[in-house]
Amino acid sequence: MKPKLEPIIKGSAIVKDFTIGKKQIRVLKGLDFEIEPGEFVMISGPSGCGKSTLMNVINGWEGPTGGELLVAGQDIYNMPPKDRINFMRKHIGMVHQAAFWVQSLSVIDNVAIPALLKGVSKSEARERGKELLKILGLEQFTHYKPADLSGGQQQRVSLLRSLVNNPMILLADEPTGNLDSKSSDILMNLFCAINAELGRTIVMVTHNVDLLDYATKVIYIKDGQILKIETKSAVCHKRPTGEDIGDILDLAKKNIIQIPREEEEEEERERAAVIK
Amino acid sequence: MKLLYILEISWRNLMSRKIRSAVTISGVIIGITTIVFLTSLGYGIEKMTTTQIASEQALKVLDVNVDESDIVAISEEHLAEIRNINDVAAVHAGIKIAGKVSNGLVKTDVIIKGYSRDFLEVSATDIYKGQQYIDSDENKILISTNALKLMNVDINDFTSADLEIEALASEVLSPSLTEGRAVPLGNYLVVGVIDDEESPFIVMPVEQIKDDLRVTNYNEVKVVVSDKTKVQEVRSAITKMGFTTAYLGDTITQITTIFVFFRYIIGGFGLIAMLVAILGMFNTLTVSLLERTREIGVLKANNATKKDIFLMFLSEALIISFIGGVLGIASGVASGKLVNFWFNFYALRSGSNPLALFYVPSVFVFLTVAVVSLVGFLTGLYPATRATKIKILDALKYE
Repeated sequence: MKPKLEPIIKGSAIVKDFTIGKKQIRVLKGLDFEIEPGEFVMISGPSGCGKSTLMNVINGWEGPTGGELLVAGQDIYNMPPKDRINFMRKHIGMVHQAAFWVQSLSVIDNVAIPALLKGVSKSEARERGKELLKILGLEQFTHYKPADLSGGQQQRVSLLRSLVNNPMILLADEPTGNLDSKSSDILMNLFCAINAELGRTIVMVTHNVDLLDYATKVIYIKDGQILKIETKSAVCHKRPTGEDIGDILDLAKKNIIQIPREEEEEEERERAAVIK
Repeated sequence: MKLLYILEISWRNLMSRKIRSAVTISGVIIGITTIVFLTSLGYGIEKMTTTQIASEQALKVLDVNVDESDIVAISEEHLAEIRNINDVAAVHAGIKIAGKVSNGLVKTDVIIKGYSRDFLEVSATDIYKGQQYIDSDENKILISTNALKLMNVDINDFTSADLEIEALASEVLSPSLTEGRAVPLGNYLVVGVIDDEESPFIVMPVEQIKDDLRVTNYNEVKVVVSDKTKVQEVRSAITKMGFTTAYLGDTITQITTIFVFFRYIIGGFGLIAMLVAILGMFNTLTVSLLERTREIGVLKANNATKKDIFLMFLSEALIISFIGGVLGIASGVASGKLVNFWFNFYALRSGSNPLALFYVPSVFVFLTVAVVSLVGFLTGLYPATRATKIKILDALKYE
């Protein structure tokens, strides 16, 4: 049996209330969950069950009304906002349902945004962005404006942007929601590669039950409560059909492993320390 | 580094909406051009007026008066005392008495002024025709155009006049002579003409008539101060001696006060243009805020801090105002030069002297850049603050 690791994300009695008009609505009703390093976790449930709210709590956007959330052992909502932002910049990457852009910037400059906001030099941030675009064979779009890309391409670039700071946790909120099945398969397999080859923890919100097979753990939510947590052994067993998709994935897997990262060793040490 | 990146995003945003940015910046340029043009016209006219009234040298000179003071004349002892006051560079004494001038059969009353050449230079007396005398010149005088006219002497033939002069003694200046006694001073040649149509007077070296008139006191004294900033100190020391003083700077101050008021009025017109430009800038930034709500969400979702977002919007306002300010100043100065060139072109053609109608003090340029930047800062403050308050989720959902 696999030894139990210290959770990289831990939620204890998470409560989230919203006030609509004069009415107070409790969306999350005391959630307890643990996510271990290297897991591919899906948060699933019907529309309105609170899964996106939970995601917003995890990524630091919406503070919980009650309870405690630890990310890499840190109570992020007990940090000063500036420290929280710096912490999140370092440890978390995010992919949204729709790809959002700064329209006046090129593809490469959009990919580089998180690194530049972290304070990385422009040349280095662009270099990182360029390497990431190469992974998916998107380097010919480097100087395009994001609006010139197809929906699938935009979502893949969005995934690359979330990786530019080499975070240990990747959050994704319905990333395939706007994609056709082929683009969706490519994206899911990329998540698999990032999870399996790079060992990054992935937490994804989806209402699409077909995607649950990619996960190693599924947290089912209903009416703001955890219905069940299911741990699975099946990992990325779905392989998309079509040669071009296979080529992209092979290129991605190959390149992801080969990306030289100056911070890699340091972050490995940090990760090991957190896990200890 | 991050600040440069934020400035770059602001710049790119302005560039991505070129026409709107250009129109907004043009509004600021027009506002600043109007202010600079009108204010430099005010400064120019003021400078022209004050330099016509007084040279830099004239602002170092004090006139010591006896007319209104309790002392009736200025003695050699008084002059010595004035010379000993700190920062007094020179003291020039002169006399002014009544007299008569005859040219053949024509005789007229005149004022006889006994001035050294230095006295005349300090007074900035212009010789209209002919030349100055030197102090050792005997029997040579300057004369006013008015006196020439009274004696029926053609102004272009002033050297032909052979003038016989007599002074009427003043007891105050010459205590040993009876008041009103006619003292003949001899015959004189005119060497130069002073343009004065109002007053009949002649001017001669004071040393030449001191003995004839037995002058021991003076009634006109010019005190040259080493530095114009020391004038008030010297002035109060002379006042303590019981004299009153007159200073050209007082007139300049009065003129300047009037021009400050004049500048406020014309600056006010410029401010109206600037106000319209500010409203345009505010409108652009507010529309930009609405258009970019999603982008703010993207940046915040990628962990941009409130400060990053604030700086981004503020720097846009500052870029607009700075470019508008610099180009506005350049265009205001250029418009002034153009109008001046056009004005002088016609002035020269009509035989008038060229004038500098516009003047832009360098401090005004720096002040304008600073004020425009401040205006940009204040205009950008509201949209920038609002941008920081937008919530990520609201921003990402914004259509």
